[in-house]
Amino acid sequence: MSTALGTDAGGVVFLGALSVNQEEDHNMIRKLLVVIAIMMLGVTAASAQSCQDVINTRQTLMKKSIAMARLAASMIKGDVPFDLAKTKEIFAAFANDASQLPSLFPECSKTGDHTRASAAIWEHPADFKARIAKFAADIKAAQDSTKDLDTFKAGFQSIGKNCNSCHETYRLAPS
Amino acid sequence: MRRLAIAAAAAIAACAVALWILTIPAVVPASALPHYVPGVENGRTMFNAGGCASCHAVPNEDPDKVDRTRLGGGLALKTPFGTFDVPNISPDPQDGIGRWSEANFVTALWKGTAPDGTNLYPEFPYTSFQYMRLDDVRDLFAYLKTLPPVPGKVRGHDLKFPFDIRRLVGLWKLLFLHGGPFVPDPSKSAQWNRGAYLVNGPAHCAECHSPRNALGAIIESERFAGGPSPDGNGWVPNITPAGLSHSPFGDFQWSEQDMTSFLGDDMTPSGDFAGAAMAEVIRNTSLLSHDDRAAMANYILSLPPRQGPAPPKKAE
Repeated sequence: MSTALGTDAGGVVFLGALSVNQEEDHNMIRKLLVVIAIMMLGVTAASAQSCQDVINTRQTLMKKSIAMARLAASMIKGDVPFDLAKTKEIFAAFANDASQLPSLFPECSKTGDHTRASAAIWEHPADFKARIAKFAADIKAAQDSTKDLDTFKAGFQSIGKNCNSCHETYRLAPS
Repeated sequence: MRRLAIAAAAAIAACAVALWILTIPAVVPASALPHYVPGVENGRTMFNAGGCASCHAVPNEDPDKVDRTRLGGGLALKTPFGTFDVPNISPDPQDGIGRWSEANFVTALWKGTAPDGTNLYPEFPYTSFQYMRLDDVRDLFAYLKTLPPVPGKVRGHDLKFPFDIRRLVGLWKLLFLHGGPFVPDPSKSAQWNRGAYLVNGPAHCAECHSPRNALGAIIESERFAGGPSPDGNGWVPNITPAGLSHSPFGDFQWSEQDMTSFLGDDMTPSGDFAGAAMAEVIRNTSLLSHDDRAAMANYILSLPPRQGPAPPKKAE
């Protein structure tokens, strides 16, 4: 900021005032750029956050499913008594998986803490989607046909084949 | 100086001759095989226990679409030694094993030697098949001959020097192939012995579930204690009790019933499905009888607990 006072005071002051405004403009632009940069960082951080959230969500979903699968197996083995109401709960959990899975594998979630999702998911999106659809269909069929232990066993086995087949192609081996 | 040079040359020549003699591929002659009427049904059991289709069937991107009776080969197996091209073992007379004799087949599985007298690479796990009983090998051969002939030779292996020198496999065999047919342990039950036979012989579980040395041979003191996957993808778990109780699926005990049913449907006691490379193994073991799977389970759970190599630390 310069203030020059001289004999041509008005003109000089005017010139002085002009340069003051330019500097203020520059300052303002600078400030705006900094704010935009911070906002963009924030947005990126927020989406990185949500990508990890997606990974956590799908892993939590899977953990719930294995607990349900374990319950189903213990009923089928005869370790716990067969309970039709519990089978409905089990199928509902699997059906919840099938409905949520399609949205739980965005591009940004290919890598992240502890994810075992194979790159094959993003290389074969149509097949991945088709398998989820088959999973959903087999769950529905099992839900409709289960009325006793034997029909439950058959239904659960057909669902299990989907778990296994997806894990064969789309989940990485333990490392 | 000249005498030294001559002596050195003679020594080298003598070594080469000795090496040549020591690495003559062993063969089982037809005269060694008594008269025998093979059982095709048992042959099918050996085929399923052995998982032959998993390597030898014509590959498909969707593993559920593989026709397990068409053994035209072609699967590429990448290893630290190069890429192996799995051969055609369909009964095709030109491109498969249609012109092999029984003795040729026994020689291949027991001695790792091809009908033309050259060494087979131990990528074909004759280190395990050497334990198979003669009758089981002959039954398997009879079963293979009932499958459809599939025309087409495969490309051939693409191996790094010096592993592309087949004769050198003779050295490897000298060092690492000295089992011979399975000898039952009379102090153990018939079920245990059946399990030990299946696991160490046709099912060749140790070939994946053990760590290997720099020459690609199993480190015997850590047999079944897990190691890097031979297909380069991930880690194969330790299946001795030390490993099973801290498996990738969680810290819990496996009962014999758990292991028997796992071999039937790939479902772990924790409710997970192992998937990955194990799913393909289960495609074969699921075709075995409950008794055979229970025998394998009985044997596996009786293994002495062993620590294997630790898997590489994951970046957190």
